[in-house]
Amino acid sequence: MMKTTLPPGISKQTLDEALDGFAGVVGKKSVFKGEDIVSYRDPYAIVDDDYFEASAAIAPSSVEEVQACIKVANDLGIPLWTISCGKNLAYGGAAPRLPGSVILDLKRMNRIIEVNEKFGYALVEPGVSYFDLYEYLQKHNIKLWLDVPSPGWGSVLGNTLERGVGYTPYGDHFMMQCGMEVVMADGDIVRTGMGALPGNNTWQLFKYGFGPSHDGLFTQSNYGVVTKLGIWLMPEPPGYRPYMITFEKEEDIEQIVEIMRPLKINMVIQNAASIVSLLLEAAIKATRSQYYNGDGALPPSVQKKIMADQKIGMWNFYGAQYGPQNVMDASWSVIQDAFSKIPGAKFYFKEDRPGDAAMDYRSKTMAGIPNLTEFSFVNWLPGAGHIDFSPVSPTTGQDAVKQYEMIRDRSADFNYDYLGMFIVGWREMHHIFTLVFDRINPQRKKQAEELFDVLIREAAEAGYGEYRTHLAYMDQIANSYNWNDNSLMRLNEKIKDALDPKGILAAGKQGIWPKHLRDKKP
Amino acid sequence: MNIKRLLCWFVLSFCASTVSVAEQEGARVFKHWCSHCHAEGSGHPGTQRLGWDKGEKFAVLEQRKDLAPAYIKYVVRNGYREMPNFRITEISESELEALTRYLQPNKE
Repeated sequence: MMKTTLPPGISKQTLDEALDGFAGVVGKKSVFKGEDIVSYRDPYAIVDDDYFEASAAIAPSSVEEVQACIKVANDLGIPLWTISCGKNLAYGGAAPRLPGSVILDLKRMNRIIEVNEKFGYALVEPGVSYFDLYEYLQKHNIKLWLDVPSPGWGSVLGNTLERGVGYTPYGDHFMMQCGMEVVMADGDIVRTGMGALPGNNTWQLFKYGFGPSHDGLFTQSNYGVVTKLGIWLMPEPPGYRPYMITFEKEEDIEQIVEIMRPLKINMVIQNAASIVSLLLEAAIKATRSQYYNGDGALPPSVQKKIMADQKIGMWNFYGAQYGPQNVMDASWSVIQDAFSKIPGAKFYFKEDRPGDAAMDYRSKTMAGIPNLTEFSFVNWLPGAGHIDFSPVSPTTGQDAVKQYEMIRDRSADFNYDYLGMFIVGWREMHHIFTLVFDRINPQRKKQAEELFDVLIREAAEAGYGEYRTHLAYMDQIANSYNWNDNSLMRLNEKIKDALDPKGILAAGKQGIWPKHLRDKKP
Repeated sequence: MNIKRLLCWFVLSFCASTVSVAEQEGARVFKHWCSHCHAEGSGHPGTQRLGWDKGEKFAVLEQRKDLAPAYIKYVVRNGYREMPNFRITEISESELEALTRYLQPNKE
């Protein structure tokens, strides 16, 4: 029988009392404990598998049940950790930051409440995945496109709250969010923006409403439980053409970014394009051991062989065009002329790479078609997990080089490979270093943990911060955003204390702890 | 058609439709939750990994006959190597039953 991990300061008796209370709301069959908790663990834990262990999980099916569960938790001081689809993989999955938390699992709240083709939006509950919404659009022949992250099984609402990104022109998910419904820690329920106006027909059309705009407060935070979310969807364009440009040399990254910046900010590059490193691209179709069994960085001769075998570059730029054919043709000539300045640049459309699994799945994601092909990169090492280090970089060649070389060199120090990409925003790039680590060998796992720690510190010293992180590093990264004697965290904590004085919601999320745990963060 | 034969026809049709419904449910669960990684062909990380580790004969789950129900259930709930775990709120106990029947070793 599995030992129950209790939340700090909560007795087994109080927890049992709470579980009875939850069962009275959601029914006994929707309260999970014991062996059933194993499937809430982080599958890619960088610390011990059972470190971020929940005590139990509960699965409400309606907003009213969420309110009632929160009341039970508030009465007894039980910490809850909210998940939507629980697929926040590489960042902790369904596991809680505070060991012993009860998971508030919203997967069963999976209604697609409205899809509006005329205005291009959807209103969804937390349990709706990208696959679910895509299937709904297909089934009802609705001519709207989603914007999906690389893995399609995550929650539309959850990913947006994490400020995740995708690969179409709507790639910044929070930018495309419009209207929320939130259950507060005191059980009150709030609709943001125009949603506060009874009888309105603009909740998903105008973000701001009247007065302060609160939506951002409920992203990457622990101030409420979001139960509905509006998201704008792109009308199906009259034409679509994904493209890939390969570059031969490592140092080309500087020129690629310099050429790209004006094209992106002037919308010649229309989508959230990506610049993918050699090994991340190669790992979609091959394992490391198929090419090299030595320690340290892959020798140049091996890198060249991979490039030749897979017809890929040291850097691989993926973008897509959307619109009438003549408009796409015109902007393509601008893109081609610009990148042709880099010697060795090669240009491909999808039809130029038949049977290429990488081109196939990127063509899907840039068209908002969910899939899971990108998980192939986890196959790079046997028995691997992955955790993402995600610093924000300005769109300058100089910064891209500095970040790339820093991460490449530190990874090599710990005998790990650089598998990374830059996802292109308007004025910055999310630099995603996917640390594929050996999770079976404890020593190698420990080294991955140490590498991650070094990366955060070194990046912060250079003025780079991460946009999102794994449970294990939330405190450390929050501490790096410490301007003016931690004034941002002091504000976060004031808001936390005002909205959730008992600290029952998602303790420790993004480094924000309730008052009673601030001096003894587990 | 005499009454005995008619009754027999009804019983057989009922059994066939029950099998078919169970099979359909298992296939539905597989398609929704498993196929994106485990379907046949390129672009499926699970199929790819199993092919490399165990050989092409063992790469495609729907073509295998060696998957014991208890093993399937364990792997779904606990994950296995690169594969993540799946919760009851994702794949319910009855859906997991249907899935294991769909992938059972003695299927035709």
